[in-house]
Amino acid sequence: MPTLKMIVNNEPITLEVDALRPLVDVLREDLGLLGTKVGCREGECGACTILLDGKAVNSCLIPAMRAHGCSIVTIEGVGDVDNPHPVQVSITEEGGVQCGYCTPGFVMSAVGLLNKSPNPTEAEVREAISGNLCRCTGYNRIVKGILKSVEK
Amino acid sequence: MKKKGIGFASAWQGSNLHFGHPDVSTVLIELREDQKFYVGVAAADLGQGIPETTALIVSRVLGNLPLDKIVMIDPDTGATPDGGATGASRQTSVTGNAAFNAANNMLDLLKSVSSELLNTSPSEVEFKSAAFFNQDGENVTLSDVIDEAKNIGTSLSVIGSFKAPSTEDLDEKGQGYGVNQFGYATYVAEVEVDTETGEVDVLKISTFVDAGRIIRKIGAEMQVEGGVTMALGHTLTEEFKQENGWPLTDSFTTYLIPSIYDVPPEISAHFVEEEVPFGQLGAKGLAELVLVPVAPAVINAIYDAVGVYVTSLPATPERVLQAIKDQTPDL
Amino acid sequence: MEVKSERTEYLFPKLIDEACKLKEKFGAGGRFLAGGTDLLLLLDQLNEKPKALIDINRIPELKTFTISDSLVTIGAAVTYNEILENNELCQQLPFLEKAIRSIGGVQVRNMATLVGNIANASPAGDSLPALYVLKAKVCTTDGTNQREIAIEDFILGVRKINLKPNELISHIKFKLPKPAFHGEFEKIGLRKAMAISLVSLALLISLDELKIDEIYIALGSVAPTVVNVGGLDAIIGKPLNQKTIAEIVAIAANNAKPIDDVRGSAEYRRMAITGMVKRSLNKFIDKN
Ligand SMILES: Cc1cc2nc3c(=O)[nH]c(=O)nc-3n(C[C@H](O)[C@H](O)[C@H](O)COP(=O)(O)OP(=O)(O)OC[C@H]3O[C@@H](n4cnc5c(N)ncnc54)[C@H](O)[C@@H]3O)c2cc1C
Ligand code: FES
Ligand code: FES
Repeated sequence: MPTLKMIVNNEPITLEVDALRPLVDVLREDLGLLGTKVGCREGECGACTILLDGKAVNSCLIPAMRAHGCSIVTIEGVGDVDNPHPVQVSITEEGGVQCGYCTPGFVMSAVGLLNKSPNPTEAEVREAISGNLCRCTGYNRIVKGILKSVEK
Repeated sequence: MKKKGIGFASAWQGSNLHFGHPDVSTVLIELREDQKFYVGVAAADLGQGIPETTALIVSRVLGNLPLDKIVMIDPDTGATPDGGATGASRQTSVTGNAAFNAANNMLDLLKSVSSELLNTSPSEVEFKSAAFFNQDGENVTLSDVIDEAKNIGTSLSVIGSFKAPSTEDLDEKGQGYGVNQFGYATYVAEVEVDTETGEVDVLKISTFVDAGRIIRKIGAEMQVEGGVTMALGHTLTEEFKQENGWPLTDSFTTYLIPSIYDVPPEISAHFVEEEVPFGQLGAKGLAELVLVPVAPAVINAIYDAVGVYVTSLPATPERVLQAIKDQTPDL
Repeated sequence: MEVKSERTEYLFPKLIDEACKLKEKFGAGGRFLAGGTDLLLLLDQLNEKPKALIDINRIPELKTFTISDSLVTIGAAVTYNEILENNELCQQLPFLEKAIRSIGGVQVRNMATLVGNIANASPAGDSLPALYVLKAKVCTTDGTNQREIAIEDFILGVRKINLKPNELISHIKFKLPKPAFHGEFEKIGLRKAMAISLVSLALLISLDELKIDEIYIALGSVAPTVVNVGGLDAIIGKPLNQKTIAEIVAIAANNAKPIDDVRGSAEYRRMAITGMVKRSLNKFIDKN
């Protein structure tokens, strides 16, 4: 099996992988990073969103070896309960989380946007999360939360 | 050409277990050494926020106790008392009242233990800012009370239960007290319809909901917005198709739940707080009710815009355009 | 029973030539991977495990993206979002920008490429109608020989393209239309983001003293390939008014051969074309 070397949440990782295995499975099963979720495995829901070299992508559509030599950030690298990222704080405060299954994906899309555009307009925020589906919230509170995190 | 329309619809929906099924919940509260109140009830949280609502009720009964003094134990029927199913829009109404009763039982217990220390009768004790006061303004702390309970060998653990009024099965004529509470809602939908492609844009949904007394406003608003969004899916995009018993729409690519662009940027929630006449909370069920008026309000708005009724859901561009063409064949 | 125990090799060529040689070596068992947003789903659907995935994203030459002397060149490894970040192109061709923005979500657009949309050759490829009216050329190479093919001659049918087994699409190119031109893109899907087109349309039109000087229309999802609407010569020189629009609608409808599928009926598609052609031309009238 080929050897995959990548940086995950600032840590160098070396693994033997099946080249075609979706990166999301490597992250969840081999590295135990269970914050990245699987909703559809077809790029449709955004639950598996991670940053690949700083850009938001669907990790279900990435064959593992494609990440060779790349830097990856998952939700675990963004923040946790003790040390949350401002986006996580504000989305929660604004009521943008219900069951929470979609939330890591939305946070990653938001962080991907803020990397590129630190002071986004509402339209930009809406576009940035238009590849993420949520069954519970109705989206508007997630938008408010992301915008509020920038005001802080 | 794009045409705008406005539609109204009203609905009522019963909540709590119906037709003679006893509807009960039990909540446990324990004051532990760390001076925090541990609240346990096996009431599943699907994201609707029952732990937050339960904690808020306990806090209010206990003199607006800060929420960081309340710890919700993870629901588990093996370790916490049963709150019953999360269904029938019942948890705030039934578990909420059980939490109210449990918190009052806790308050009575704490007053009784502290009254010994304060040399007064339990009914003269006031609990505020996490301390107990007698009429002369002397006070003891939670930690004093925890120590005293150990001295006298009393457990600072209580339960509270609530049973919603009994219902009955309907008779053969469909009559009887089958449901103990109904919520009511009226919605206004504003849409824009493209008369030549059948595309529908929902511009705004305003909701007016009677779900009794609202306990946790943000939670109620979140339920309304989420419910409206899900129902917009049923109304406009979600269609389960099958062929010879095989589902054709078996993925997120084919079974289309609303995306952010399918939801109006404004879904407003207004509450009409008509309290239910049983229990102490006055709260009624909300979760399912909030979906019901969406489809008829949107369909009425489409009618207002283009003068045709779409009679099967979802109202896809194809169905809307077909209805328009059927009405005006030479368009 | 065939047992597929072989593992897929994952290769990162650095040069076009190298990529073509690898393709030649693996033949049909080798697949180019750009964004992978179509390929991975396709392999899943076909239950196919290729011998090799040839990742073309690390070939610097394929990252070429230039606009010079009004010639736009977009390499095969340029993603949609990289195109959208180019202000000059978006200002010049807002209808192409709109078409690209309608594809997938941000995550898909951070990976997927414009050339991948062409190579995938789906009639619902949303960048294609715009590229048809822009008369884009598809440029292929086998490492030694280059070919340049008009997009409508390159796409032959559903998932059928005019590409030899050892060839790679290196880039596409097209001329920016003269400033007199106005473009529109329209798409109808079953929801408003993340939706496959039920019907799509791109339009490029210019007027001379309020009369139609040039007009190009391409329709998506109404035939096995995107359709360049033919027969529009008949309306050149006519004033752009509702009567002419009705004629254009009739011509466009004549060019479409839609079919029924899970997403919608042929009948609806035919009706929707009418609506879209009218809508896009009326938008142009409103702007004038
Ligand atoms: C969730 C989701 C939503 C989508 N929404 C849309 C949409 O709204 N509209 C739309 O049009 N499409 C959509 N797509 C499809 C897809 O994103 C596009 O077709 C995209 O442009 C494909 O580009 P790619 O770089 O990902 O191609 P890949 O998947 O990498 O390649 C596609 C095919 O082309 C071949 N290939 C790639 N590059 C070359 C080359 N240089 N030379 C020769 N062959 C090559 C590959 O071997 C493969 O067979 C969506 C996909 C997903 C997953
Ligand atoms: S699991 Fe990757 S997009 Fe749904
Ligand atoms: S919060 Fe449940 S899917 Fe988004």
